[in-house]
Parts: sequence; C-alpha cells; structure tokens
Amino acid sequence: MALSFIYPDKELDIQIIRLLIILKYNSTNRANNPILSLDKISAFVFLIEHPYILFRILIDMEKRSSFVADEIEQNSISTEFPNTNGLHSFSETKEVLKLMIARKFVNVSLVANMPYYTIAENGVKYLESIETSYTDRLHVISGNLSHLSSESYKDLLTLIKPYTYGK
Amino acid sequence: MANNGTKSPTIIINQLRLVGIRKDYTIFFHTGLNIINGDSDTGKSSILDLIDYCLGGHDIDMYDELRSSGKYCLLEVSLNGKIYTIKRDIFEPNQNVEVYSSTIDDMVNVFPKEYSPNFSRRADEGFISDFFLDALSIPKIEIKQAPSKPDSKMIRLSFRDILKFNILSQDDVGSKQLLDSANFAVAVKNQETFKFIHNLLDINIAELNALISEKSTAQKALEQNYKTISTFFRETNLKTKEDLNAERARMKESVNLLDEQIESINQNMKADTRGLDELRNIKGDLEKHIKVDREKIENLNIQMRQHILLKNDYLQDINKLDTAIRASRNGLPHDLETPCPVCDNALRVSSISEKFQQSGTELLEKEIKSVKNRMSGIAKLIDESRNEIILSEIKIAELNSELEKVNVLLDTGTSEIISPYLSQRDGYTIARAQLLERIDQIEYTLKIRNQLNEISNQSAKLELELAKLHKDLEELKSSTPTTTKITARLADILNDFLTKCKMNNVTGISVNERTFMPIVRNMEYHRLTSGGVRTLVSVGYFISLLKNGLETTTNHPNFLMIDTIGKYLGKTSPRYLGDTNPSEDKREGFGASDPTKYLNMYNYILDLCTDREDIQIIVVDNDIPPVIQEKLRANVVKEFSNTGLGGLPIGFIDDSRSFDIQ
Repeated sequence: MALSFIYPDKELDIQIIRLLIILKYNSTNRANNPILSLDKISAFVFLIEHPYILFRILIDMEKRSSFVADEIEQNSISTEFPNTNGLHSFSETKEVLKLMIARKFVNVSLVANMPYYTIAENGVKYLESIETSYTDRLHVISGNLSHLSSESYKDLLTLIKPYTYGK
Repeated sequence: MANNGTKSPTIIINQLRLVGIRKDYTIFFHTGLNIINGDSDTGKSSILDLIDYCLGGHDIDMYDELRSSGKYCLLEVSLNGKIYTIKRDIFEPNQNVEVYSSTIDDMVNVFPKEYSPNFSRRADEGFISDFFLDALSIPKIEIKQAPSKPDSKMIRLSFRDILKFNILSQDDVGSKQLLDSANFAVAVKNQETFKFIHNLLDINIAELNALISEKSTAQKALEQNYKTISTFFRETNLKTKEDLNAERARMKESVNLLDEQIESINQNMKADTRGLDELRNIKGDLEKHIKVDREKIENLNIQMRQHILLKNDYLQDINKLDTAIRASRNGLPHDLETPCPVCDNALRVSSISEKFQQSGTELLEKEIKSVKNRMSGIAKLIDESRNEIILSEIKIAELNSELEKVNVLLDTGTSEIISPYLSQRDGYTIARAQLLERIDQIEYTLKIRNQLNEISNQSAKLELELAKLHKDLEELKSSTPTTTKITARLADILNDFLTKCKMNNVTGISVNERTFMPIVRNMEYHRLTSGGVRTLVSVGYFISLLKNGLETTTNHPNFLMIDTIGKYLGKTSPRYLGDTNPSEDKREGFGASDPTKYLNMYNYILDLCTDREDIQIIVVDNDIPPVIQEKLRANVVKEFSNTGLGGLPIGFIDDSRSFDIQ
C-alpha cells in the first residue's frame, strides 16, 4: 500500500472549525453590523495559522492583548517560512463557506451587493461539541483578532507584509 | 676667481638648482660663453626664467611640468667675487627671498638673511634689490621721473632697472620695441638708468662719494662687530672651528661604531630565539584544532535548530489531527441542501465535500502514530547533537588550557633570551641619541663660528670694494664721462661687431644721444624692417654695453643672457614671422642656407670671452649651424632633444610624465 500523507491544515473539518472560530469572535462590530467579507476572512485565516505574526503585529500596533505566542508558535517551520498562498487566493475558503452555508453553520447578508458572513446557531452548537487543546488555543487567538476588526483587507496586507519577506 | 681688471660689477652664475618633488634638477655654468641648446618646448627658456626669478624677477612662467615637479629654486652666484646662494619659492613670489653667504653645498652651515622680493613691504634685512646693489657696489639712488622738469617726483632706481640692459628675452631679440621704446614712461626711466649706468648723471660723483662714506662706515662697524664677537667667543671659551670640526668627526665615528653594535645585537637576538620554534609549531597546531572544533559546534547548532523547528511542527500537527478525529466522530449528515443566498443555486454538502481532504478516523489515527514516531526520532537526533556540542566544548576547553601553557613557556623563553639583548641595545640606542644631539649642538656652534668668518669676509670684501670705488672716483674726476663720449664708444663697438659679423652695408652707425638707442644706416633702430638686421643690431648693442663695461667704469654688470640668439637668422618661428619682412631678410643674406653671419656672431662672442674670467654670457639657441657645432661643444652647458635622440634629456625636467605623453 502506498504511504498516504495527511496535511492536517487541509482537512475539511479543521478548515470548518477554524472559520467558525473566526466568525464566532469577529462577525460583527460594536454596532452589530456584519464586517467579515471573503477577503478579510482569508486574511484572518492566515493570521490564525501564523499566530506569531499576529503577535508581532499587535506589538507593532501597541495593542494591549491577552495573547503571547508560545515557544512552539515562535519556533516552527511555518513561522520561519510562512505560506502566503491563501492570502491572495480565496477560492478554497469560498468553497468551505458554501459548505458551511449548506450545513446552516453561517448566515450571509448582502450589504451594497457584497456578501458578509456571520455565525449561525448551528455553527455555535457544532463548535461547542468540539473541545481540544488546539481549539482552545484557536479561541484565544481568534479573540485577539478583534483588535484588527476595523482594518480593511488592504491594511491587513500592509501589516502582514514585513513578516512574509515582502510577499 | 681671476679678475681681469674689469671696471664694472661682475655677476657670474655658478649653478642653478630646481629642488623638486621627485628629484633635483641642476645645471652648472662657467665664466665666458654658456650655451643651452635644444629643440623647442624642452624648457630652455625656463632656465633663463628661473635665473631671472632668483635675481629678483617679479614672477615665473609656471608651465605644467614645473608646477607638477618643482618646489623651490636655488641660484649659486658670485657677485663681485663673493659667493651667495639665493633661495626662492617658485609658487609664492611674494614670500621672502633667502640669501645664504655660501655655496649651495654649504648652505646648512650658515644662517640665511631674508629680503623682501619687492618694495611693497620691507623684510627684516630690507629689499632684495638693495642686497644686489650693495653686493655689486652700485649706489642706491633716486632718479627724476620726468627729467626735464626741475620739480619732478623722484623714484627709486632698482636693481631690476639696471638688469634690463643685461637680459635680452626671446621677445626682445630683434624686436622693434627693444627696451620698451614704444612705452614713453618706461623708455624715459630706461634712459635715466642708462645715464646712471654710465655715470652721466650730475649726481654720480656725489653718489660715489656717499657710497664710499657709507661703505667705510659699514666696514668700521663690521670691524667693531668682529672685535666684540671674537672677544665674546674668547671669554666664553668657545672652541675654535678646527676643534669643533675634529670633535664632530670623532662623534660621527662613535655613532658609526654604535650602529654596528646595534646591528650585531639584532643578528644575535634572531639566532638565539630559533630554539623556540618547536613551541611555536605546537602553538600553531593547537590553534588550528580549536578553530576546527569551533566550526563543528557552529554546524551542530544550526542542525539542532532545524530539528527543533521540525519537532514543533510535528507537535502542532498532532494537535490538529486530534481535533480532526474528534470532528470526524461527530458524524454530521452529508445529504443537506440549501439555496445559495447570493445566486439562488442549490448548495449540496455532498458535492462540495468531495472537493476536500477528509481522511477519516482510522487514517487520522494512523497518521498521529506515524508523526509521533517521527517526532521521537527527531528528539533523539536533537539529543545527539546536544551531546556532541557539549563534548566539543569540553575538548576546546582542554585545548585552550594547553595553549595557555605553551604561551607561558614561549613568553618566558623569549623574555629570558631577549631581555639581556634588549637592555644592551637600549643602552646603545640612548648613547647614540646623545651623540647625535651633541653633533647637532656642535653644528649649531659651527654655524655661529661661521658667522664670525662671514663678518671677516664681508669686511675684506668691503676693503676691496672701497679701493675700487676710490679708483673709480679718481677716474671719474679726471675724465668726466660725457654723453657724446659714451655714445661714440658704444657706436664704435657696435660698428666693429656688425662689420665682423659681415652684415651688409654697415654704414651710418651711431647711438642716439637722447634715447640711447642704436642707429644703423642712419636709420633709427625701430625703423629697420629686416628682422635679421634688427637681431644683429640688438645683440650687438647689448654686447657693446657689456664690452664698454669691461673697459670703462660703469654700473653695468658684466653679465648677459640672450634667449634665442638666432631669431630671424635662419629658421624663423611662425610666431615671429609677422614682425619681419622675409624677402628683405633674404636680400640681406639671412637664411638657413647661409649661416655666415650666425657663425661670425658666435666667433665675436668667443673672442670677447677669451682669457676673461670676469664675464658671463648665457645664450639659448635652438638652431646652431652644424659648421660651428664642434667649435662650440665646450660652451654647451646643457642640451635637450624632445625625442630623447642620442640619449639627450627630453627637457630641463627630464622625468616628467607629461613630457613622455608629448
């Protein structure tokens, strides 16, 4: 039998969980207006996959955050050589979101013909059913993404750029 | 130097030296005729220019080679038989001129006197013009600016005014404007200078008396100075010149001996430390090993860091896989379908799910196991690297301790062997320095001693000058010169010169009694149209002044410099063609094909200089006719060729790169 190779970040369930956790903490602003468009969600996915970069950005912006990148997050291959593909290509995230709509995990509202995504009751319930050390850490990290909720996709790219060798 | 009984001052240039950046450029001169021969643009004229500058000239024509190669110039010159060296900066014409009462070689033994190069400010010792006038026993006088007006303003007559009758520049030879005849004010001053030179001024006798009185006083003062200083030397027990010289020689011998001793110590020291070579080799080996181990640790650290990064990634993967297993156990339904809120198409979970990686619980569990295995392998590698680093560090510490021991042995060995040599060498070096200091002191004392000699020499020179002045005065009183007498004498000499040169139609020769300019064929000099005729007449006129000075009492130094004596006589430079009439020159017999007149001119000068030690003529030529080249061989003091033909130098500055490029 040929040896199979599993890339955990590509597992569908992992991708759903990550998006649900992002949506749980960042779907709306204080005025309860939806703020997560597809491009912004993609940028948040990148940051949640590279927590050390988020940690550095929050320091650069002098934000008081409760989150400190741990030793493993600081010293890993993905930190040294970040994969920026998902930052500029949204098709995969879009497909996962479609699936989540089909499962009624997320709601979509159109603002000026632009779709914005918010977490639905089913999504919250599903999330509550899965509790691991990895999801615990994602909850902490995602909670701190709210410091960047008012930044546009373009601004987020500018903030990320110094840590991705200009990519 | 033999003086042939000249009745006029003498200037004899012995040597000109341009002190340069890379080397010095020297040219020696002798009494009589000196020729500087060579191609155009080889720096011939610059030699005369430098002499003129040292004789108080205003400034110098700074051509590229001179600017890039020279620093200052030295002129060793005999003035009325006494040697002086004039030192002048070529870049700063306003800087004081230094005068040494010595040859160039002995300059270090005397203190210089500083003179101002012009009348704009006065240096401690006065003006260079006054120095030359004093040294040549020429009275310092003032003349009327406008001689016809009784209340005319008086102006100082300088040495440079007199020297105008001694230097024929390239532009002056054969020029219609000889002696600035076209410039009224200057021409008038030149006429007054001419009168002074030939004792035609009313004040000449009075001035001579004043000069005698001035020189007598100066001599008495010098004698008094000599007495005072020599008494002071005697009372202070200052050693004699001979004693000082002997002591200096002894000291120099001791310095040489000490130098030999120091060199011998250096050699012995080298030989004795060879025994330590084995230790030095061991030290080198140890240092090499330490370097290799340090590099190994560095590589291990890099490797270990890469393993740690991978291990951390595996840890994160295990967490993610564990989460994926939990999610897969949830068993969510796959047959759901919802209309798309944006496009109204149906969104089916089953069809979308197909596009993604869903490994299932079993595979995920296997993967966790596999990753854990890989992680423990990596952990092992990390441990191994860490252990190797520790071992290498221990090894380096041991090597360092050995190295320290070897260094101690080397230091001790070296200092034991070298210390006695060093203390001995230090002793010799101190003794040597003390000797050199003492030599400096002796040389300074010698300079002071030489000053006393200088006073004595000056006094002796003044005595000779006074004798001559008394004789001049008597002669002036007995046969007061008149304008008619002087101009007639000059005209006779000029006539003789032109006749011997075989110039055509030598008639109507005289010298104008007002302008003192020559008249040939009853025609004023400036009206002569043939450049060749003007050349012969201008050269002949200056030679007449010189010859007259040899025979009668004048203030005209027996010295003459002529730049391009052959101007208009053979090949005429295109630059000067406009000032002559070539067809006229041809008719007069001036041409490259017939060098007779050229030849006769040189013969006349050679005759004039024969057996005379009190006259000097320096001539620049670029076209000596081949027929007389051999005859003039002994008179050529410097020869240049711009192609370096026959091994000749390419110019006065013979090592300049810009010359090579040309």
